Amino acid sequence: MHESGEQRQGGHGSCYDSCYDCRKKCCWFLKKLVVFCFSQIGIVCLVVAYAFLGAAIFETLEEPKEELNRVVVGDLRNKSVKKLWKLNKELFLYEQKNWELAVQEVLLNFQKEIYVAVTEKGWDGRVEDYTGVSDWSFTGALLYSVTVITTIGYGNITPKTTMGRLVTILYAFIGIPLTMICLANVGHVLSISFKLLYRRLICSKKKKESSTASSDSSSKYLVTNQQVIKTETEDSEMVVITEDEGVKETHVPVYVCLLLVVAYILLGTALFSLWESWDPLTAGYFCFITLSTIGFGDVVPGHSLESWASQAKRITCALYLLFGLTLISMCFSLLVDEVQDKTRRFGRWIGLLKREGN
Amino acid sequence: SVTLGSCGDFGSRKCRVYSLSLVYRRDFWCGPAVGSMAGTSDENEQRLSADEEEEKEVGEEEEDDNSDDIVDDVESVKFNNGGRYSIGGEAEIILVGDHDEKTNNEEKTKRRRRPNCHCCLFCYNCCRCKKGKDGNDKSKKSKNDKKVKKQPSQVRNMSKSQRRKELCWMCCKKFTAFLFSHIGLCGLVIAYSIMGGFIFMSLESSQEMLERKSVDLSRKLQLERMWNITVDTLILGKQNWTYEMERVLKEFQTEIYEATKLRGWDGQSDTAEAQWSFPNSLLYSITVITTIGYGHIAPKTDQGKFVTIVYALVGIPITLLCLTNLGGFLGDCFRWFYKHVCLLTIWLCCPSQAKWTSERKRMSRTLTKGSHLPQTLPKKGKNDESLEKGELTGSHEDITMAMNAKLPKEQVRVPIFVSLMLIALYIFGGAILFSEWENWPWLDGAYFCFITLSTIGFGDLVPGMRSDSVANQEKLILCSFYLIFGLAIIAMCFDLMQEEVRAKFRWLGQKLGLIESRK
Repeated sequence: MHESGEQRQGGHGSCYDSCYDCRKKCCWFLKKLVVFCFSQIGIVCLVVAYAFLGAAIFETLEEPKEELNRVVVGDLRNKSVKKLWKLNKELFLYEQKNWELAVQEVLLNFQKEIYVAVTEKGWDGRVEDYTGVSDWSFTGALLYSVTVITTIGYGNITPKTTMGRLVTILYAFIGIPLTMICLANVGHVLSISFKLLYRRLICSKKKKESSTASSDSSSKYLVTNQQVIKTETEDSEMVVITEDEGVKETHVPVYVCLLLVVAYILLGTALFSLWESWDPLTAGYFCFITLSTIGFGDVVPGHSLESWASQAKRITCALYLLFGLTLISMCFSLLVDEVQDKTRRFGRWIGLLKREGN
Repeated sequence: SVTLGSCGDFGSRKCRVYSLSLVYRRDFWCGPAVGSMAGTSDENEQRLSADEEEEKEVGEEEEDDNSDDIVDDVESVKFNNGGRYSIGGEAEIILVGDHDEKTNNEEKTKRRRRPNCHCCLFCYNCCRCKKGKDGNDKSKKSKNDKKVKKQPSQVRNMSKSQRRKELCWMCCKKFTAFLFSHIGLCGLVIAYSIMGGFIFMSLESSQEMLERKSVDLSRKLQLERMWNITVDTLILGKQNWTYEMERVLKEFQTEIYEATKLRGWDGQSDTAEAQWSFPNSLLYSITVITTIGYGHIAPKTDQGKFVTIVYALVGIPITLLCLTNLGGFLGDCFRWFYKHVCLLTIWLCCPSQAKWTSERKRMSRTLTKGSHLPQTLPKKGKNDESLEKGELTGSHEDITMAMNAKLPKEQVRVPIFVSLMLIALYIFGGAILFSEWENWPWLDGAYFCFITLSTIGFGDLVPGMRSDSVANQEKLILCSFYLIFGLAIIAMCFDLMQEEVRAKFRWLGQKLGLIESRK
């Protein structure tokens, strides 16, 4: 008995310990998760998950309305036909001119209503018994979400329900800063890797130069964050360069970045003009308008006879978009120093800035 | 804290002058001209500041008449003693010793030093930077650049009255530079968009007339078909006739859809006023250069598309530059306004709580007088006051601190929610205005304003584009103005929120253990 009592006590103790351990592990795990979320990969995953979430939400909100619109347009058409029939019955003499006058009015009315259905109600131009992939399918909603959070905003499909519009506002309010942070981070990381790559490819000589540039006849105290790191030398010169100064010093020229962007636009042009059978100018125009986040939405890929093709096109468009913006963000990171330097020089040249006392 | 050691610390070298350059790491500025030091709200933190006179010699009886001001451009501060000094904020301090003994004598006579190279912080004899080489020459592109920097060598040897004149002249220069930069940019953007309006109007208006005519034509064709069908099939019965009519109408509706979506038809006949009128073209140009991109009208001609690309390539950077500048300027104005409103409320609520003024005075004490130094700065060690002149070997114990920092003039931190409130107010105001004017539901107005100001720009709702609305042109112009002002306000809020957001992220990072908390 005594043993079992002890065992029981021991059991209690170990149970308590395991609970405590469990809790600790949970906390640790949660903390790790949050830290991961804030890391580079975490933010990218967050954005992707956010886009998918938005796609699901908007699909549920807007697809019913889209189907409703088709029915409404069908009704409009039926009404017009009925009106015409009545006209026919009334006009006993089918004198062309009279008949035409009356029918013209009906037709004009019909035209106006269709126009309103297209622009204000968001009718997608399809008949009411359409069974294919709708505009607000999952892929369409995904493309829509991506255009919202990257502020491109095509507008070829837009939410028409009140709830949809409200959700768009909230979704954009959270999604835009998130995406901007993600793009900035990824662009920064890519720019560093690109600098390394560039340096390795071309500037191996510069590496040797830069390491000897600052060696000089003085010793330095390098103070970082209020901590003194003394780099004392005895006779020779030594200088402590910060860790990534080598990378910092690499200057990727402007034309390389521009070349990258132009190449990407040309790639998109080729892809979309082949796939959508647009003329090259339209495809190039689309790529440029997309990547500059202007996003008119007058030409958007995704219309095809086969449903799988149109879905694939929309996904391709979304991917192209995201990668393109990442590339542009990387070019910004690469160019920011150059641009600042050149702007300063320009400012000095036109006399806005005074010359430094050199 | 930093310990400026005696010359003995440098080994056998005889060191004369130590330059303490504050480099604000994030701005990549490598020279003595630095960005502002970010201060925290820690009250115990002292800031180094100095008056405007550079390299004031210790021991001179010159009166320090600017002792209570925190100055903008500080060239250098001299320390009399070595010792521990604390620098506020994030600062990377690189101490450069003057190494060459030969120059000792000349400098002894002149009692001034050539400034260090602005690129590598070494003195001129040693630095290898060539002029114009962009090796380390990075600077923060900010309004600091646009303000004129004083020339140390010029200002140094002038008398006081001359210095005042020089200051006045520099103030005037600053002012003109400011005028030119901010207002000039805004004028440039406005002129650019007006020019774009004219260009696009001329390019696209002919095409839209064609489009309208083609829709009219198609309607007439359908009419003819319907007549023929009526004549042919009516006798066959209602069923057939109805079926044929439906087919005709289906085709007609598809044509209307395509004309509207793909070819940019605006739903009007060709007698109505043109869609690509000047106000609409102006709105279009503005949506291009601000990257909003409504798409309610879009170029359909090839030239139009090509010109749009070129126009955007040039216009977007200019607009971004203008908005950034404008945002910074408006941010400063708002901070000033906010500070005074806060002061007013504090003064109204508790007149005795004027402690910030005393704090300011305390922080702005200069350091040129050696005896003041230990008082104004926290002492974190034993050997501050004990280090005296005699301990430093060499004949010149002046420790000059070249600090061209732009010290933040009591940088007012506007809380985030104030900036967000501003934006929200603007959106609500616009929502009320547009929903009233366009008979939209209130949510649609808010939706339009938000989509516009976030530069998403769907273009499904645009004021003045409904077929039955009146006063279209005025509405479009108003929309353009709303847009521009809204973006300026957003730029201002970005500027206001930057520091706060950064601080919050840093706090968050420290809490999560991502960033080690500094002590």
